Amino acid sequence: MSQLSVKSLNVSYDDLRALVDAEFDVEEGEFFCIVGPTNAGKSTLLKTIAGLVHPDSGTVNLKGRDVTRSQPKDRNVSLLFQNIALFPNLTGFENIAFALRTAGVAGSEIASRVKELGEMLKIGHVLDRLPKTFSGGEQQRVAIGRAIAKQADLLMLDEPLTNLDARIRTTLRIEFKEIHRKLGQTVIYVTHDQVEAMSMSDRIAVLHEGRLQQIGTPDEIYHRPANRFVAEFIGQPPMSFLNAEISQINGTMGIEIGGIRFPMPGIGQTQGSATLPDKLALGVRPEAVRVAPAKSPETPHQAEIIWVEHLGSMSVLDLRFGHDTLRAKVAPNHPISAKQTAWFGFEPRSDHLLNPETNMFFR
Amino acid sequence: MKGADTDDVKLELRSLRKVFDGVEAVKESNLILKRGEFLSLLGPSGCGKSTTLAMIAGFLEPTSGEILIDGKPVTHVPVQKRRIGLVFQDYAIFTKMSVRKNLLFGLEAQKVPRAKREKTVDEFAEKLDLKGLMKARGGELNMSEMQRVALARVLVTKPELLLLDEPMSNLDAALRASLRGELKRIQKDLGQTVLYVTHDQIEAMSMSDRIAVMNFGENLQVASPDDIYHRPKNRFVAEFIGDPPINMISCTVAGSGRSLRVSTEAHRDMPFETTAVSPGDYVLGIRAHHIVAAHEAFQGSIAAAVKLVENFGSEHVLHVTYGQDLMTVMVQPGFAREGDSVHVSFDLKDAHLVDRNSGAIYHPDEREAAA
Amino acid sequence: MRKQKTWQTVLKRTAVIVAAVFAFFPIYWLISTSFKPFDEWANWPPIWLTDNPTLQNYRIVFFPELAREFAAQQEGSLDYKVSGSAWNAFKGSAIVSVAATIISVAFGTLAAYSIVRFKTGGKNYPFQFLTVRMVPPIAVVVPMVVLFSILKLSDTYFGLILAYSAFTLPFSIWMIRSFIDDVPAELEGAAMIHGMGQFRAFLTVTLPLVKGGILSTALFIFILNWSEFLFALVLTAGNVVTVTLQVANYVSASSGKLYGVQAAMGTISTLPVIVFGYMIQRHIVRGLTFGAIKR
Repeated sequence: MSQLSVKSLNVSYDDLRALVDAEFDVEEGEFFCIVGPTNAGKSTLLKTIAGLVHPDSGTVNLKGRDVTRSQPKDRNVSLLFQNIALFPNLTGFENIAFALRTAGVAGSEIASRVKELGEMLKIGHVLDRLPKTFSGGEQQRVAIGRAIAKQADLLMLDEPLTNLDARIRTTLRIEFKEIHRKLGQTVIYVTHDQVEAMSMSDRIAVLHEGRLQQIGTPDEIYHRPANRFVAEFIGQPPMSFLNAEISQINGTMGIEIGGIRFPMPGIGQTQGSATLPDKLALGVRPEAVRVAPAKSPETPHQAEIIWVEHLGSMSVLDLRFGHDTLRAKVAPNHPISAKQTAWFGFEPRSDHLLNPETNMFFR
Repeated sequence: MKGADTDDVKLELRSLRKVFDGVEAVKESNLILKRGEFLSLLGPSGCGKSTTLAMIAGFLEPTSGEILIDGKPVTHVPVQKRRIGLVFQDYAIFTKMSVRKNLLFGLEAQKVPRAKREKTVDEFAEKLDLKGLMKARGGELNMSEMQRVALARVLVTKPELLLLDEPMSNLDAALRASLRGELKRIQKDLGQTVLYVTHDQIEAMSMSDRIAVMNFGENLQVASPDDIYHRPKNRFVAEFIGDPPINMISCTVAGSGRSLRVSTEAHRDMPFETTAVSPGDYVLGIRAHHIVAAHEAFQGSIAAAVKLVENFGSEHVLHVTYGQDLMTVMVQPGFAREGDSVHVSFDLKDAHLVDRNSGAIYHPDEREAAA
Repeated sequence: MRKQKTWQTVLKRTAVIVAAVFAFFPIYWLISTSFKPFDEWANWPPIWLTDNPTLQNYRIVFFPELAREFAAQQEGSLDYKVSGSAWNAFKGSAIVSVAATIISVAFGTLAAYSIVRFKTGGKNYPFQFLTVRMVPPIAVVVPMVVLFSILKLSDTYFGLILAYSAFTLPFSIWMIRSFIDDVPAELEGAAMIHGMGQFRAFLTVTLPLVKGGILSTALFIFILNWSEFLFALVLTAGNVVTVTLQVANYVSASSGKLYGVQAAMGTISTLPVIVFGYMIQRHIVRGLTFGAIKR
């Protein structure tokens, strides 16, 4: 029995369909990320699971119980809002203690629990102050404390790091993982940053315009994306898509891109029973592309470098050949760093062939 | 910048200072921005970057110091007379007006004659690929189009200097990546001088010709992204730039003169040449991708237990124990799992020696004293 | 450059002074007249500050029987029967205004909550009932009288309270609505997730935060009720008296309007409003939500 089971969930506001046929399970203790661009429906999904929003149709099951029509207070879930929403007229202590007080827990037990959380989250020093005196990071931590004070069946975090400086985000990311390990709670973490989703989760669900695109482990999502959206959204820099044509020379199958022929012997067999159209697209991950200043067996093809981005730990080159642009990721001290002609090479993967009409991969 | 051609200087800040209620928000800033340059003010919230921008724009009066544009002091010139273009967070284009009206806005405000207005607007619409959108309403555009309209709107007035205040901070990560490239391309094509404020080091690194890293009102280092990344001047800069953040490992320094011996918890007596520093306890800064990892022991390696694996798709980052410290190591996907043991080592020439107290950094083979 | 600035400042200051004079003059005149003796009430040219201040007017307000003596002192006047008593009027106004304010604000808060959180009535609903309120009361006076007579509500406390509540309700809803709107729904959401039902979350979390807004609305409504004249006039017949009606009672057949007494009554009538305003002003605190909500 899954901790959370969502089936055929449909939610709409006025005329806008915020969620369409959402369906997924989350196992106990899992760190499950829902990732997608702004307005994909992520917050709506969390609010529906929490009971703050009523779905048009579909069910929400928590630990086997149907809670679709239950009030939030009867669901035993915890939600950390994107805008934090600390109670402004309560101290840090009282904010964290809120759920416990409402449940009628004894004062002494509340005190010890809040103290424990204060130490764990390093906010002991703000417990007796009001939220308006807290820094951004402190507010965030107090909000987390409030969310985990009562051990809920499901902890949901709605873009908790979005409003923080890039630096604090990186450190808090690790802390979240640590807290998750210690508590072993089931967590649903919502973000628009695919780096966060990839680095933190056991499984990821990609959401776009209200529809779930793919659900899988980070590796599955990264190496076998279901469609173009997932492929371009996950991975930084994004996957490049090149226009390709099937070509057959002397009986060997291959594809042709920008006038260059790449042999691909397995091409007929790995795509199942679907007949491949003549015009396809090939997805190539930037790290799969090798670039060198001179022609070599590993870099046999020529291209022009039209753009270079230095990002410290890596550099990104935009290569142009024929009508296509290919992104390549290279080491920071790579010999090529200015606009010039360069030589590249890569192995096209047959499981990264895309149907340009449907934007789905052939698998 | 000694020897810089003064004709080339677009913006100069001289001892610019701002005090709020006894707190120094900006401390004696001396900054030079050359014509056509893209300079980022990078730092955490509250470091003074937005305050500096506000003073340059003219919204805030400095407590002391001078602001010069093209060599002429503008410190007391009102905002509308400074010929500066400003782009705000979220771009703030007029949603109910057509794109054309948005672009005409600034020129109308400046009372540019009609024929010239239309011509300039058409010119920039062409440059920024907006020709097909001229009739669309501001509220109907996607983010990339919005950015181009916001930029065009301000660029048509041919500002001396373009200021951007964290325009992308509310956008999702994927969008930011594509908008960055576009913004930089437009800037380079037009040769526009730009001052960009951000807290995101990736933005600063990818777009800037030079970066001014700020903290607590001070310019800690002003240099090219390359210099800032490979030769940070102090601990704050080193830790602020780079993802994952630089490893900081405790070490001790022994020896005298310029040939020192550095010992960490795991490695002993590694030779290190730098400016003369006194022996004692220091910190060694080393980037995750400079650490060499293998499954078997090798020359100079030590064993490290893998505590956490972060999956970034094209690479993994391992958090391993290194003596008493935790170290991040960048490896190929699938290299190791949590609980595994790996062997790590690094080359001292990739490391930075950090003073525990002052935060000053000494690079290997430095001839001059670190500032 | 400098000169222009001074000229601008002088102009601005003058405008402010003129506006202030306009605003405060009636109050000044009221208080000044209340201390004037009979023969100075309606003089032309007007007497700005009397040289013979007297408490006679106040005495007549509080002790109407004195009016007779008063009459005797004047030459050529026959009757000075002042009807009604100020005490009665204060009592009446107090009951009606306080009750109507409480009802209006209480229902207004509930309605406003419903409109803000559940979008009751649709997007344009708030505009609709504000428009209704734009109807001048005098236009509905006749139907109101008929209605009250049918319902046997004429000249009853209950009737007047009902009328006042109904008429001020749109104001209440409109004003309180914006205060509730300022409080993010996520605060109640957080309370609900942590164990409270929706209504309890509203009472515990949102209400304290809009307390200041509700109190300032209450003050506003109270002033409206306290100073209301038209409905009080047509919907009562002597049993229920409000201070506004009582002021109108200070007329006599021979001497016309007793301005001084009216002024005295008027001056006294403003006191409760000032007191009420003072009492709640420290609860009207801005910015309770600052710092707790992240942008």
